[in-house]
Amino acid sequence: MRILCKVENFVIGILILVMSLLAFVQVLCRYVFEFPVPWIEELTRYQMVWMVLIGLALGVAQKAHLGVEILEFFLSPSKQRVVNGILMGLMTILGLVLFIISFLFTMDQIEVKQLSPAMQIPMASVTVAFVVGTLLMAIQAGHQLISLVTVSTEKDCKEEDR
Amino acid sequence: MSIPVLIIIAFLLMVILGLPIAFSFAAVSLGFLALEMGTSSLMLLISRTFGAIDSFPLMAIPFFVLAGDLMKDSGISRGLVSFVELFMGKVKGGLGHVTVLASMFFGAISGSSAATVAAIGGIMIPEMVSRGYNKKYATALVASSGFLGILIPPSVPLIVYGISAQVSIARLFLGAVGPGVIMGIGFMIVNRFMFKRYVTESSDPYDSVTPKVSSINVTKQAIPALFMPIIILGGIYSGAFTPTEAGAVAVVYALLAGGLYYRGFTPKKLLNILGGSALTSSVILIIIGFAGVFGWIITTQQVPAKLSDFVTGITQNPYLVLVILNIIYLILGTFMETITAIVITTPIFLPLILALGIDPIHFGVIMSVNLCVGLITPPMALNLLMASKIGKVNVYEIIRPLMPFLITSIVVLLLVTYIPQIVLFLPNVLLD
Repeated sequence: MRILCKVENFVIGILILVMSLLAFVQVLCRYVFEFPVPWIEELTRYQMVWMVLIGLALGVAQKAHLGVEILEFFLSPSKQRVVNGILMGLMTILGLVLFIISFLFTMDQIEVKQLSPAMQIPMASVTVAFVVGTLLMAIQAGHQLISLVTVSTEKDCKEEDR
Repeated sequence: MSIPVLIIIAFLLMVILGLPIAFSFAAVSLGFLALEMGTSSLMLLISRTFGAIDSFPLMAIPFFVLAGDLMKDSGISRGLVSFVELFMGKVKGGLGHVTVLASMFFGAISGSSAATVAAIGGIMIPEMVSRGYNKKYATALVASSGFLGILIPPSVPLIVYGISAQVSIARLFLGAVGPGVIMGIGFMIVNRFMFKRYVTESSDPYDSVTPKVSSINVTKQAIPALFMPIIILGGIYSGAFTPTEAGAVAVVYALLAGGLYYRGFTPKKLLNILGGSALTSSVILIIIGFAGVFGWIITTQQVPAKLSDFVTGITQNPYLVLVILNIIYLILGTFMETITAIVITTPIFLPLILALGIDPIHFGVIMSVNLCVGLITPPMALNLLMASKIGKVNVYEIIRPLMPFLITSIVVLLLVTYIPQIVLFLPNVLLD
């Protein structure tokens, strides 16, 4: 699991870097070379979609998602464990449901051979990010649930430096 | 019970249980679609979420998050602090003023208050403590000054509001400058008065921290930091870049300045920063993605329109409504994170605001100032938590020295609410 987190971390890190550089190149193209490149914007947008969906899964593993942590103030640690278990269970189920819907959605895109406006690449290559991201989310939430139940001693995916 | 009420109750239950906001949005939306429109409509969730994230304006968020994180870890904040000390180091309570001003400068580079607290607090808390400042006071000062980071543009919360409310982000940025500057001045006045109580006489607060370095060298160290806001904001307001493009320029600038000028990055460190920023922004963007469907559902159920009718049926007075909204936001801000609160409430309150003839730019800035106050009010006070971690003091010990800053920010909030010119002056003068 920790390797999976590391890979995800690496992938989204590279995506955000390439996105920034490409968007910068686009500005350069427009002003310095006076030669706008229409597909750059589209490419960066699709990179962002991939980044968000991979980040969705990594966020579950690292407990980085934003929420209201109000119950923490009222519950004892043992009760909190139960609530955590319920939450991870919910996230596992939600991940699976979203995975199935995303899968069907992407199959639709493949069937109608939808192409992107500028780059003319299949839209399925972008929407499949939802399939991958939600599946990873279900796996990572499920793994957390199991380690909660079995009192696993395996370390969390928390970044070491943070 | 009517459907809209059920949706909102289910949503609140999940949120209170602690399910992340993004997933609460997704789950409620799935439930609604399945029950109301049949299972074939479930794909709407994916297509609409995709449509919401597949947006170039939204990309300003990852860019400004990354630029801020890069700046935080590059040594640029050190340069900024030393530069501000040139002017403020010898004034009474100087280090406190330096903290406020450096936070404002850093805010002009970064779009987030957490990055500002970490960048400035990491340097200033130890510095102030070693110069005889009370540790709790120093921590409170850093926590409060940190939220200037989101009032001084660029600002991630204002980008989120601009996208939710479909108003100009450039205007919002300019609108928040006035409140940010007034808040900064307010904090410096507080610092001047608190100085006697919290700073021991035995130390030598009049002494500049870096006396041996010449002012030319200090300025040299700060030049890249000082140029960055000019490039970002100058670019946006001259019409050269969109806010998103300015963000990309900021990232490249931060990479070059941090890597070549300050030499602050090793490859491993850089990869860590990149991954961290990407995660921070993904978590924000996924909320916006799933919130899109939720917003669409409550709009089709006419919730905002009904709320607007209900309130305007009681009072048509915009000032009174703004009082009520201020109270709601102050309470929300104590337990809800800034971005979350903006994404949830903007679609609900915006029709009401427009119906009363309140400028949506003005409202956006009021909301941000409100939520800034929330950043220093417990229990959910990100800035306090962050600063107390840096200062290694208990959060609840900071509350007493924090009070004057909290009161000042509420006073500024009232000024901003009832004198719209504080917000609207700059955008009207510079953009019309």
